[in-house]
Amino acid sequence: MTGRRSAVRLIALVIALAVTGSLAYALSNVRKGYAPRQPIAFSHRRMAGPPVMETDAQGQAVNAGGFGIPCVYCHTMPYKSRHSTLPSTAVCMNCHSTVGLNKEWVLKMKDYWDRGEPIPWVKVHDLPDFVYFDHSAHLNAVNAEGQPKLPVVDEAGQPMVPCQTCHGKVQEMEIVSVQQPFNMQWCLDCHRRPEMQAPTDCITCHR
Amino acid sequence: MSAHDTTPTTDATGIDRREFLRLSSAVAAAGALASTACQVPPEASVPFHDMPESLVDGMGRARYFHTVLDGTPVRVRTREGRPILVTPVTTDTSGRGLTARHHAALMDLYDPDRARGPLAVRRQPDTAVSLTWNAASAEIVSRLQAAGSRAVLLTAASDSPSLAAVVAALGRQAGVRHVVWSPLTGGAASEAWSRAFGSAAASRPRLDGADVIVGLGAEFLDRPEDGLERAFAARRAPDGDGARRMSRFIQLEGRLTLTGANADQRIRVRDSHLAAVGAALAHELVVGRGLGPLAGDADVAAALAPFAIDRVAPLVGVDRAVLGRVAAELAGSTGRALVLAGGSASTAETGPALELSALLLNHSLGAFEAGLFDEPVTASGPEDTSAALAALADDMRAGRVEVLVVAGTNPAYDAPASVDFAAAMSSVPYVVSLNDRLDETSVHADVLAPASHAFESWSDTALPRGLFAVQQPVVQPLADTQGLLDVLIDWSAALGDEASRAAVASAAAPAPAPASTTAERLPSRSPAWHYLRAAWAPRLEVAAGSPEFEAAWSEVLRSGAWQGPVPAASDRTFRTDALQLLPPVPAPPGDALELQLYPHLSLADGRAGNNGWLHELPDPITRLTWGGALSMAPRRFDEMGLTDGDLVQVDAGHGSLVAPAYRHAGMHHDQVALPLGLGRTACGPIGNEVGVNAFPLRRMAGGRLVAAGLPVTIRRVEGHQALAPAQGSDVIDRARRPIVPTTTLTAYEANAAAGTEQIEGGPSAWPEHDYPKARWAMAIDLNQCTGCSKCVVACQAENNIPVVGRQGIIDGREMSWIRIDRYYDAPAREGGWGAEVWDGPLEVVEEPETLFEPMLCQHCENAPCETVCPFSATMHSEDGLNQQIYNRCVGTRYCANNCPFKVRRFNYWELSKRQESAFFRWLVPKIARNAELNTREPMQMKNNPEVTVRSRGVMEKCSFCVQRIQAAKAEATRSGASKDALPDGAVVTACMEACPTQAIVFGDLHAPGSRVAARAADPRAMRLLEAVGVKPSISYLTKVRNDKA
Repeated sequence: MTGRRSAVRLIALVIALAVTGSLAYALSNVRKGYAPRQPIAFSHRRMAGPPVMETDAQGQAVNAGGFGIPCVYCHTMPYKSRHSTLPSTAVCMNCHSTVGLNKEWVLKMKDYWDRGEPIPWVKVHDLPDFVYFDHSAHLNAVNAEGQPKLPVVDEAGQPMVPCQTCHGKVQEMEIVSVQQPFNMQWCLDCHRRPEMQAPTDCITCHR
Repeated sequence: MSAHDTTPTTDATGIDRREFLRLSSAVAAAGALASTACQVPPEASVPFHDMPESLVDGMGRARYFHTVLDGTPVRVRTREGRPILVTPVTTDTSGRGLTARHHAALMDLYDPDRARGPLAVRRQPDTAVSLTWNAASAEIVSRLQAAGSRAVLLTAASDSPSLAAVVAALGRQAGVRHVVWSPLTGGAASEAWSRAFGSAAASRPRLDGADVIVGLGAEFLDRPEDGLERAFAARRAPDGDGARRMSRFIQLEGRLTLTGANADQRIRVRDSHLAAVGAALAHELVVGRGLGPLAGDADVAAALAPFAIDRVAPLVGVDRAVLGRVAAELAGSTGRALVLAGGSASTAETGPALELSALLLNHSLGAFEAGLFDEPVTASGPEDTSAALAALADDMRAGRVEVLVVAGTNPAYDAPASVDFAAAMSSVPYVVSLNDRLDETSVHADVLAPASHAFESWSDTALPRGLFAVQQPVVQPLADTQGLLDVLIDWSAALGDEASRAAVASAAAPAPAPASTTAERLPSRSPAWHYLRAAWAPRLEVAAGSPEFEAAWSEVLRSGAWQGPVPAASDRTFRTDALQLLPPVPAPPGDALELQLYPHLSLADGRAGNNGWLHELPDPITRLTWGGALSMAPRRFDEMGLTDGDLVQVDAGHGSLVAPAYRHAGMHHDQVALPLGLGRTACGPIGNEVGVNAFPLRRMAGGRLVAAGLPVTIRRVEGHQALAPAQGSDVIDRARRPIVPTTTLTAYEANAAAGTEQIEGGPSAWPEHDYPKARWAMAIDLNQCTGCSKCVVACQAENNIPVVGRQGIIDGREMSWIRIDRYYDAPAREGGWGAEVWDGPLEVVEEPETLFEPMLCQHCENAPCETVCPFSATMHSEDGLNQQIYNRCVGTRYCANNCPFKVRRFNYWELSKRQESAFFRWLVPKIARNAELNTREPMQMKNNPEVTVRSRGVMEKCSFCVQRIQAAKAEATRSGASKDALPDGAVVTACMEACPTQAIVFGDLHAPGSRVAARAADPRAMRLLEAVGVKPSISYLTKVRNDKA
């Protein structure tokens, strides 16, 4: 009797674990919040954020905010190509051959440049290999009226770049983290909105 | 139950409340653990150090480059600097065609068994040690200098003017003797041409100008490199009229070839009798009917006198009336008729006579005057090189050769047995091999200096019709190899040749200044690049180094070729004394059996022996993969009581071998045939010991290599070797299974829809689909399809389809998404042919009518696979595609079971993933073998990044190249056009791109001017299995045979 009972218990336990585990897996946002350490502590807030002018102890005007560099200055491809691409070190050197040469991370970057090595960044927004996403198809998508499908103003009515729809306010991030779930449900939430007139066939992304 | 009741309560499961709570907390903890543990593993994302300016237009987009492979211009698709697909050049004026080997060249380029760098072999391949190029070159050059005129350079035949110039320079500077060895080039044609017209240069026939084509063993469809497929197919449309009306093709041959399978009428004549049959036709036309300029010539009449049809026909076993009708058809189409020889039959001892009889027929039919032949560009034709090789081997044995350099040829494997090249090599003090691996010849060398693949090196080539093309590299050398031209220029520079010296000096010169960006184009470090530019400047008629030259040179590289002057027509006077070549009249039919050795359809001379794609490409006729078999006539085969794969010994007197037998429909009763190019022993683990090497059975006779009409005896020996036939080789009972639409021209002209009759189906239980946007569809014209199978290789390359190996094919585990089904047509018979006639009754397979039907996923509207998938892993898209979603598939295989076309493929083994665990590799040897076939470095580099590499346990099938559809849609979105209404031709599938005859057309039925819509609406169009109601998206257009004699 006891033997049968513990067998039943074990089976029940296994089933319960399997069901809950897979539910937990399905529901968990495995990507949202992911903020890996990078080989260089690059601050998007400093580079892309809006300038905030302050006066320092010596009475000098300094920019405590960012330089307001547009996304596509470094990530050059999103309108042209499937990939948005990370900038080559040469792009960093456009400015840093003359500025910021006393800073630790700039020197580390320059080290890579001098050695002729690429910088081994860690991918932040990483889709599974069976998903084929195309930046250019999203950024160039227009509706029947010729208006871009991706929003150009945020909820508060402030102008924004369409990149923020998925990537969030990168210009405010010291360390870039994933702001959206980046799972299929989330993709389809948009694709299924009638005004998007977006395809929902499997082969749109999987092939 | 009250709140105070503390008695443990248990329900039927035996779990009480507390225990449930304990379990729940455990489950919650496990869930929390799972959610934190399921983070994405970190992945590196490495940008360029300094991105090339040329990539600014878009990473992740394919770039195309023109280059030359094996003498044929090709267009190579590359992604991020690595070639991923070989495609035909779009504007084809080259007069050359792509073979399956061109499409499969990626497997040669990324072959892990190529030598990684120079090796000091010292005739001990097991103890070979690495060398540097400098050390190797220094050693070789000093040896060449010392040897002087006792040095020999042995190369394959080449059409490269620059290579020829460098080879000549080597001869000038150091006296190096040049010998050419090409195992498959027969000299019969050049002998006949030089005897008949005084010049060995053979002209190319213009098949698109001929109403009647008679093939005397012609194999122009088996050898697409001749570039005649397109011209042949251009005249095969049944609705053409006037100068475009459908041609009639009559083939006389001993083995059922791909060419013969495409003939309207096929007459079985054994190889050694074909010359007599040709002479008999000539006798009938010239003497009997008085046709052509030679009519009335007494010498001609005397020479042809023994060949009256009445006499020859019974001797060769052909009905007199049948031959008479062929002659009558030719006579009725003077100026519009062509006679072609030139296949394996021309390698018989009677080969020159066969070629001569074809020339005599063409001359008498006025084919030359009517412009049915192109003018040759080169002054010499393809020579038979066996005599030169035999003389070289004699010199080597006699000690008259000090240094032997072998480049791109493998005589230790493919020379005839009497030459015994490997043994002769041991008498040469110093042997260098420039082959790409430690092959059969290189193992006997002192130094192996591996030459790069054509995709890694510079060269050029001369093409027919006055065209010149540049072979430009499309990828950096993958290993420490150098281009053949680079190496030879290096040597000739060291030996003092001026032009080579200049090239080497400018290649070695330091770059003008350390470039700050890569936008500046730096001169190449390859001496061949400098040499070519210097050599091409006079051809382009601009000064080297001038801006005009740079522009012209860039244009040549961009377009791939440069058109030179086309030579003027020359006078053709037939020399009647050439008719002395004609053979004696055949002996009366006896029991004699003859052997034909033919080049393997995909492997040819076996150079690409380690190429899994080529081994796995089924022969379109026999459907055999991974090794060939001895083809025997069905009746002889049945009389000997054989089954496919039973071992048979073939004894040719001067040599013998044992091969598995195969019941080859359409073989002449007195002929057997074996493929060449198999049985390599040192090409690498993929191709070693696959099939038997039949090269040693060839015989030298009269200064020529004889490979057909060899008298043999065969006898059955103990043993059986399973053949590996691919899916799709059946005899079709058309009355019962109307699966291939086929008809005759007479029937077609009476009723354009003839041949498309199907068994009626019932009403459909499914609602009609609504296709608001695009509707993708395909139409395949079976009259244009020659069965060449290049689409199969192109699909394999485009869609990352793995190789399953010999055992995989035997187990029925093949993975190819498209196959060319081959059917033998059984005429309707009272009561049918019996349900299972797969091997075919004698009356069908002795004289078969062959049908080819490319079979791929039909993307049915009411797809049976979709309804049975329990996971919705295969679904219908809104634009008519049957989608297969790998990450949803769990591998129930219900869909494959329910597919009436059997086109779904299941990955039973982890074919595309390397199994790292040594334990698993030991446990399941199959996994180790799969890795050998598919995943050794750098083989993965061939993969198309646009297509998922599928893993084990997942169903896959043709996707209509959905990656190309999506790319076209993205391009439309980028340019502001509608992605739902792409213009016709915006999407070209890989099979359509590879098809030389445009048999395959793909597109959107809704697009304006859609070609596929026009074809689908053609009365010849038939969608398969109407009775089942699956409604395929693919229409097949009837195969029409021209029966109008």
